[in-house]
Formats: sequence, structure tokens, C-alpha cells
Amino acid sequence: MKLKKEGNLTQTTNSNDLKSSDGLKSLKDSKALKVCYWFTNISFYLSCFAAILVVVLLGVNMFGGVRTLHYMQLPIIVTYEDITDTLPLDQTKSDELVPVVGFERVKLDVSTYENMAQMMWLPLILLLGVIYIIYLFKIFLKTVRLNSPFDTDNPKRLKLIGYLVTAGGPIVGITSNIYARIFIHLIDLPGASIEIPTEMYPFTIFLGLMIVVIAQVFEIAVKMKLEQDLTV
Amino acid sequence: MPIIVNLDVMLAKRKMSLTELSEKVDITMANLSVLKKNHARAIRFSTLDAICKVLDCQPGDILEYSTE
Repeated sequence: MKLKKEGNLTQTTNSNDLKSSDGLKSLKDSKALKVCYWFTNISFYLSCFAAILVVVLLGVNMFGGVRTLHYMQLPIIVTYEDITDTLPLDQTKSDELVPVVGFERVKLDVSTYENMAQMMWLPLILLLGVIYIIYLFKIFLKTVRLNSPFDTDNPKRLKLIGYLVTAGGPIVGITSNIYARIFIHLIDLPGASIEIPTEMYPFTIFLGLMIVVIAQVFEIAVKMKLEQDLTV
Repeated sequence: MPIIVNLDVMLAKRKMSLTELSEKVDITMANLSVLKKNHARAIRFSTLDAICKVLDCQPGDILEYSTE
């Protein structure tokens, strides 16, 4: 309770000190920060719009009886063996099915698949996770713009972003793998071998852990700032 | 915190307000309020020097050590 009281005191006493600081003044007027803030805002609203759109599509698919989901992309590896000998090059790429050698996404016609609407729930949950990450980052940037980057809640926000980003890569990788396994039987490519790779997106794991470390640095900075602010 | 700040006692003895002290020692009211309410974690020697000079007292008159 006492600590919270002190924290509040800190914020009230500090705003004046921070405003007079030239370094933070320039941070507030930083163009890069402005661009980042607006970019985050636009991403946030676009993601929200996408989530609403997915919910509407799900509703139409599940209850409206109209099929709106016709295609989905699967992360699979398609390798042709003798197909170039039997088919002319222009026939290897059709409008509905575009198989490419190497790790590429195959556009797959799933309009005949009955449970398509139910399959969209997981991507929707993932999308909500992304929206939450952007929302947390948006609040973080807002505090930075208000000249209080060492807000007591910022380390928690950064840590949460870090954990979500770390977990996000493997979750997306595993989800894609599960989906590919479900829909692989719909792919009918003569003379081609299909593999389902499990990509764990190591870069996102590294990025997430980096954010967690930065959050810990912020935690120390918040404590140091509190000490500094309560030094008369 | 075992250190107690008796700034209010000294202010009462000298019949001086916190605003007046703030103006004389050139420290913000917010900071002096932190000190008076015993929320301060540390005090600079320069601050102590200024306060002692204005209130005409010793650091021991402002700060007190209590085991409780």
C-alpha cells in the first residue's frame, strides 16, 4: 500500500522534472516515435477490423448457409519428380491450385470442406492475441509520448508482450502444421511428393526473449527512477 | 523507515509555512511535501544545508532515528 502511495507520488512529482529535461523533450517530439505511434494505431484498428470481418464471415458460414470461405493457404513443401516431362509448363499452374517447388504456400480450394467455418476459430483466437500485443504496445508508446516511459506498469506490459511474442512463433508453426495435416488429403497432385514442415519461427522466439530482457531492464530503471524521485 | 523527518515540528517552532520555506530554499513544494510526509528515500547534503540555514537549526533537529 505504502509502495503504491510512493509510486503515485513519484508520478506527480516527476512530470514537472521530466518536462524540464531536454533529452525527454526531444524524445516526445521525435518523428520516429510519432511514426511508430501512428503505425501502431493503424495496425491496431486494421487488426480489429480484420477480427470483426472474420467473426462476420464465421457467422455467415455457420448460420447463413452461404459459403464465403473458398480458399486457404497451407504451408507445405511440394516437390515434383517427373511432372515436367508429362505436363507442359503452363499447365502446372492452374487458377485453383498453385503448387510451387520449395517451401511455399499452396492455394487450396476448400469450398467443399464441410467444417471450414469451425476451422476458422483458431486463427481468430491467434488474431485476438495479435490485437492484444498491439494494444499493449500502443499503451506503452502512449506513456512514452507522455514523457513517462518509466511508468510502473510498463515493465509488466513489455514482459507480457515478450512472452506472447515468444509463444506466438511456435503456436503459429504448430497450428499451421495441424491445419496442413487436416487438409493434405484434399491435395491431388500426380507425380508430386508433399511434405509438411514444422516451422517454429526461431526469430520470433529470439525477438520475444529480447523484449523480456528489455522489460527486466525497464523494471530496474523504474526502481532507480523511484529512488531518484524520492531523493529530495 | 527508522529515520523520522521532523520538518513540520521545526517549521512550527520557527512559525514558518512550507511555501515560505520552499521559496527560501529553492526546492519545489512537491519535494518538500515528500520530505515532510516522510516519503523521501534520501536527502541531499545540499538540501539539508539549505534547510538548516533557513531554519537556523542542526540536521539532528530535522532528522531523528527511531528503532520502532
